[in-house]
Amino acid sequence: MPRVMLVGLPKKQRLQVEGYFKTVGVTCEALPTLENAVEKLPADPPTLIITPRPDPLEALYHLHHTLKKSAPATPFLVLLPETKAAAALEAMNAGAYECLAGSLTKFKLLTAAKRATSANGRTLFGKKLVEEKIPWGTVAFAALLFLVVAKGINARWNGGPAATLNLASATLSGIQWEGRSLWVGNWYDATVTHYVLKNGLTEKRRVLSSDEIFRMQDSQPILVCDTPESLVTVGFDLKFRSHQRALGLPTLETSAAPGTNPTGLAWDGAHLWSSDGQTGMLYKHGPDLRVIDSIKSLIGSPTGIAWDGGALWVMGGTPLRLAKLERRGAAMVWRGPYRMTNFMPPDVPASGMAVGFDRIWVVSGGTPHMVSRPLKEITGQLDGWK
Amino acid sequence: MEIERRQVARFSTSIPVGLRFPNGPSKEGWGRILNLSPEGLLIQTSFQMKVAGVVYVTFALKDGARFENLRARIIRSAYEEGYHLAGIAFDDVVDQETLRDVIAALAYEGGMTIS
Repeated sequence: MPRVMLVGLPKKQRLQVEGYFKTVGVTCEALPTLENAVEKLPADPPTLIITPRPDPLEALYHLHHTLKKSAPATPFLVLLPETKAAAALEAMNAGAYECLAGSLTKFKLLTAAKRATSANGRTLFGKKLVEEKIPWGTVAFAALLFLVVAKGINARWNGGPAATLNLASATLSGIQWEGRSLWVGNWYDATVTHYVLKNGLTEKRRVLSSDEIFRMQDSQPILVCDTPESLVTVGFDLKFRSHQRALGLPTLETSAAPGTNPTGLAWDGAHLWSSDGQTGMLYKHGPDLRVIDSIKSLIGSPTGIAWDGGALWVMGGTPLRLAKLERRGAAMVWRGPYRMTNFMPPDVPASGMAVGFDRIWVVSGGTPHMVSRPLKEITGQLDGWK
Repeated sequence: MEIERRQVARFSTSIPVGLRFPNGPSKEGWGRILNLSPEGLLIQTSFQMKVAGVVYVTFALKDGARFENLRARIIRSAYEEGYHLAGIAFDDVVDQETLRDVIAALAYEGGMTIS
């Protein structure tokens, strides 16, 4: 009965090796040290010995000497921690038939064991060994499937809210999406509320959660816009204010509005922009809130502006239209206008506008609802300015 | 009748050999020399041996003669159950003196001449 002697193998590796030999009907015997093996093998020599490379190497020479004397047909294999030819040659010159390095696969171990024993005129097992190829096609398909599913789950988890949101107040003024944050001004309460959109796999789970509520001390906000440095508001007193985001919204800078009907505020990542419904202009503001540049709006009476991360959207006119101001090199170009049909009743003016999750969002006086439409749906309707 | 075309003696043996591959997935490996002649070696190894590839071989004989990094080219290769059986020929780079040393060492070793 063929038998393999495993000498000095760590438990985990010993169990692995025993498992491999079990598949070909070969039994294993474990011994803790080479000294034990040298003592035992003259009386009952195994078919094969497997041992890790000892340090120093003398123990291998001793094993080889004993085998030559009392069991010349028993070869031994040495396991190496790394693929080092020098270490392998030392062990083989000390009598090992073969060295195995790196991860010990079933195929690698059994083929070496079979070859070592047959080279010594013995048969360990007769089963033909075939290397188990990794089904790379299946692995790649599974990985791709996993990626697609993970991407889908991630997209859903980080998805947008429902198309209409109830903000629980009918006196809403300016709004601004900033990633998953929503800033909402309430002129009646003189508050600015910071909401955070919760993550969730279903739209029902992705609801707004009130994070902070700031009350303005010196006016009531009609427009709000968060910037990296401060929170900017435009109050009923037609003053632009930058505020520290703290209790009472302490004012940092104040500047008079450039027109008499400010309708929109947006931050383009570098500058603050505002729109005025009376002058029909878009204004670019410097850090002190003063106007540093202005552009005539494509839509005559803008009622709101919003930045989507790459372009400034302008809404306004009757019937309601939307236009896009894009940067092209050093210049700015208009796209649109696009007609916004069936979005809001014609007699209800928008009091706030925002762009987020590839949708346009609008609030208006007298309703607590913030309604939205996909931008793609609107930009498919180019208006001819008839 | 088979015509013997081999012009030099071949020695059957089982000497450990170190391999160094300038190209390929493994940089180094090892195996056994199954037979050798001044022209080349027959090697058994679990490392991949592709025909036309260059390999540097290192081995030592019992008399202490050691041959290091002899440049050789793989001229034929067969695979069976995890092992490659490769015939390799020493390159011209290996000088005649080294080859003579191999022959002398083999003679000293007393390997069996099979052809």
